[in-house]
Amino acid sequence: MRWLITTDRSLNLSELEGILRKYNCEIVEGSEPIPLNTTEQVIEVEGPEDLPSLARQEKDLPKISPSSKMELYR
Amino acid sequence: MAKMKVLVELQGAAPQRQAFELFAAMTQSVMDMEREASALLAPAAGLGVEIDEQSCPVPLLGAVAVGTSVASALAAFATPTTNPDMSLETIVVPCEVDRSKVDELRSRPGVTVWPNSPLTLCQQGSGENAAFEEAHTLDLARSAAGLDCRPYRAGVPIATIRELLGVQRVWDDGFRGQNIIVGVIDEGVNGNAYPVVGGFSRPEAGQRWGTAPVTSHGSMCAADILVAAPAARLYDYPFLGVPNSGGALTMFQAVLDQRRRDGTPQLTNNSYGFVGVPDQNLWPNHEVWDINHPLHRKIREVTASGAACFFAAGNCGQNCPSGNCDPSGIGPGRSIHGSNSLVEVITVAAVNSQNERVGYSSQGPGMFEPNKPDIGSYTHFFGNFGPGRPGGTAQPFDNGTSAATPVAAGVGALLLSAFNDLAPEQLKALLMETSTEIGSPGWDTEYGQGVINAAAAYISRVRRGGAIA
Repeated sequence: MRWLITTDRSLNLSELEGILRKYNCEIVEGSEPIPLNTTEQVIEVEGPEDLPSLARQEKDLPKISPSSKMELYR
Repeated sequence: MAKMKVLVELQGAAPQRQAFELFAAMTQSVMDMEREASALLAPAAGLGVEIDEQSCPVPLLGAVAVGTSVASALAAFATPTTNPDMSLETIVVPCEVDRSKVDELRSRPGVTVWPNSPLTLCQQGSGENAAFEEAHTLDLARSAAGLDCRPYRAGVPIATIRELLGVQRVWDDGFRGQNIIVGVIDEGVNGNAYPVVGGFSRPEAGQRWGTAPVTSHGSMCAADILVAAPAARLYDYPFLGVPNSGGALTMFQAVLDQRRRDGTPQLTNNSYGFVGVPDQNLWPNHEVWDINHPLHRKIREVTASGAACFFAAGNCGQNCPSGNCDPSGIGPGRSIHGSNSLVEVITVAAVNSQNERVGYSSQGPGMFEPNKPDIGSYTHFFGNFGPGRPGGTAQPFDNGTSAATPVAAGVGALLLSAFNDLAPEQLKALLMETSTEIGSPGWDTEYGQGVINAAAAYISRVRRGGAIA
């Protein structure tokens, strides 16, 4: 499933990809880091459903949020 | 000789036939009609009277006076059962006759000649003025329940919605949404039908901004923004594939980036969201539970940058929820959630043109901010969809809180074109304070503070000395 991972902005993409591989996780194609403030960024990744519990101890992935499907209110 | 069209009423014709039986026989074929009509017109023989083939003889059942048998028989038609046929008193035959023969025709026994004057279709021309004339068909009779559920009431023209919003008052002062750009975060807008002047598409996206079909959901939103603000322009932020919060996050970042560059768009329309509430124990970080989800944080950034964000309340109201709704997300307290229930955004419920809540409109309290929705706005009208509209009749009319929200966003654009210093929280307060109260006094879970009123908001701001742009 898709997740939004909040990381420190000092973490570059290749470093992040290395960390994500440990959890059988990869950056969604075309997704780019989106800054949240001066210190944090967020990026969309594809990974296992239990990613938050798997990566609970990972200090470089401080917040893992679902990127849930939405509906158009037609 | 010049001929004229007349209606020839004949006494005592076809006494052997019942009225409805005779009419049915004559409407089944032109040949049968001509044969019957020729026989009926025997009293007019020798005057060159010709039957109008485009019409059909019509039986009259006699004077309908209170207490007569005919009146009693007709009154019985109100029952859902089939009633017996009736005898005819006279029969009227549409004909053409030489003008010189009309007087002689009138003199024939049992014959009455009536004019058959041309009628004119009450057809509206094109353009705004014609549209406004249509709006005078306003029917504000509200049902006792104040609720519109399946089968829904018929759609109404845009002109009716404009009349209800009172936009003419603002237009009269020269404000029509000009200099305002509304960001439409949706499945894409058709740039041929609607004034798309920019937007954002991921480089790998198959769909560039402004290229969606005119039947798209985003095109409907575009049409509905222009109801109140016809001079506004649009940015198109199309989701790539299935909408998700990652896609929305990207689009809000694009909005923020554009605002950073030139201060536009001044507001966004968001007619999407979630349709269920997952178990909090299993999904504590889900968007409906975690107020610090990155999407919500980004939206707070966008509003903090001065862009008002209009969000649909959702279509999971308890009375007639959309078929997409999960039972976990239906009804009061469970159906306005995620970004749609942030205190920073303007959350819009839906009413029809008679100020009845449409039964699918989601109900508060919101799951983040309890006092949601904020306001009600109009849906079920011929905006993008409907007879003669750009999207055609793929749908009978624009619908959902999806339509109500861009109507409200259009009012926001209209007000911002007049008062460009209104911060999002001021715009929200103005819309709420000046809304037309429906339902319970004050704020309530179904309509919010009341139904949006552009004229009232504009006048209120003018009276308070708001700086006009």
